[in-house]
Amino acid sequence: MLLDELYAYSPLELEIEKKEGRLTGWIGYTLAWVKRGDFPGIDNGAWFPPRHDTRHNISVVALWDAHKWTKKGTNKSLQLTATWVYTSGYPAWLPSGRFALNDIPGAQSEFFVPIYGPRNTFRYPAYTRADIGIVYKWKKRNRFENDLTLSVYNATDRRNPYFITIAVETETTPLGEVPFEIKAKQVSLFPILPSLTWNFKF
Amino acid sequence: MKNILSFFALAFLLSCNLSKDIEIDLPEYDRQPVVECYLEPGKPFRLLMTRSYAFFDTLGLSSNFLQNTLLDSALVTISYNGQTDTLKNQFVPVLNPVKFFNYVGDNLVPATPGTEFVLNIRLAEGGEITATTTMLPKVAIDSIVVEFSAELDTLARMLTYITDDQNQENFYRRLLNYSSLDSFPDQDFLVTDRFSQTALIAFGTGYELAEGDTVFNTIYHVTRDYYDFAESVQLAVSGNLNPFAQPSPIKSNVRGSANPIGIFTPLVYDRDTTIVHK
Repeated sequence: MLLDELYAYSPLELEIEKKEGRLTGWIGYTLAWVKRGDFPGIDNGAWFPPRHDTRHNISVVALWDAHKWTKKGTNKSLQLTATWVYTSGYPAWLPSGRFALNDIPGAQSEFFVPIYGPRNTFRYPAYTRADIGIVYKWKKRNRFENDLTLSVYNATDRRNPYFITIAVETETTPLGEVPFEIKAKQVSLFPILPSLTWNFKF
Repeated sequence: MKNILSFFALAFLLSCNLSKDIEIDLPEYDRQPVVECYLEPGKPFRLLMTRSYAFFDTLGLSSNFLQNTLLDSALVTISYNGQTDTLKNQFVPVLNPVKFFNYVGDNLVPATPGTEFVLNIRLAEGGEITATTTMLPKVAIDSIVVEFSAELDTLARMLTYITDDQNQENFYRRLLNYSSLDSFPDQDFLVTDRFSQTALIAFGTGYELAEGDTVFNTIYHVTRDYYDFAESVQLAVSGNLNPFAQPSPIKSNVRGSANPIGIFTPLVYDRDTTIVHK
């Protein structure tokens, strides 16, 4: 078990909120740094940004009370929601080089041994997502309340990176399958996700 | 209603294909010399020195692959017992198993435990590499026991026993090959004797051997440097293909101004070839 040091500081955190009126919501922004290091025996104690070192964080939430659009006299209410979040890309440790290993008799030679240099020098692309929603709420009758929510998570269908993996393309030669190209592949977790929810309680 | 169904159908289509090729901008990489020198008692001094590549450099067996990969024209010397041997720059493929070397000496590696070896390399383009190591004693395989299963008498397991020196910390690499030493090993792992509270250590297999199978059973007694190097290589390889695994830098025992990677180590082992029979 190794012990290290960690520094986290955020010199700027802003939030503006509107609480009244038909349009409500808030905008938040955070500027922050995180770094770790001074591990004995790791990179000569060099400092590096850990995974949660994301420089900029922005969130915008808006709610629009559209009750005027509902049918007069039916006592329904309609609310529109929108959210947008942005986070700077987080650091990752990717290899910088590779070599082939002969290895000892009986062991399989390795043609592709990655060489990892200084930690977390690569940054993933930024994460950004927009969600929208509509909430249609009926008036409470006796003790029964219900509403219908149509929401779309990741409405712009942005393919935010979840992780990056390596694929080695091979070609068939007289010596068998030989690797000839290395490709990086980005895998995302959630595409556009619409949903329809009916909530009720009594 | 029709519009809602169309919306969901379109959303479903857009949701496919969550993986895509991307271009990654990695920091510039200076190729490094890679040294592998395994001192096998009774065999000539042999060394393989190659160059590493930037991670996304094109692969493949082009016509100048060897020229681009092998690092030749260096001055390679190994000193021991008051003498210094100079290895000749000569490409030597070895068969059974297939391995390659590009520096070979005339003398044979002495087997005396405790002999210190010093490696010195001066590269043609400048830069030096040095390393030291000490010959280890051989840890012999005491016995091998083949047991057929009582329930499935067509399948057997193999138990391999060694005696460990409990007065010091020892490191081993266990290899089990079927049919030939060039085959993909069925067992290949590194182990220390810290897990064992007795001097007698047993390595086993499952009931997977059939009568007539040829088994190459090898126990390498390795140095701490080699254990760290081999373990770091295994972790780096597994971390490369698994995005959820922790990557590992290579732990080398070769040093110098050339910024090398590699290992300089004795290769002491005992090997037994067993043909399984009832």
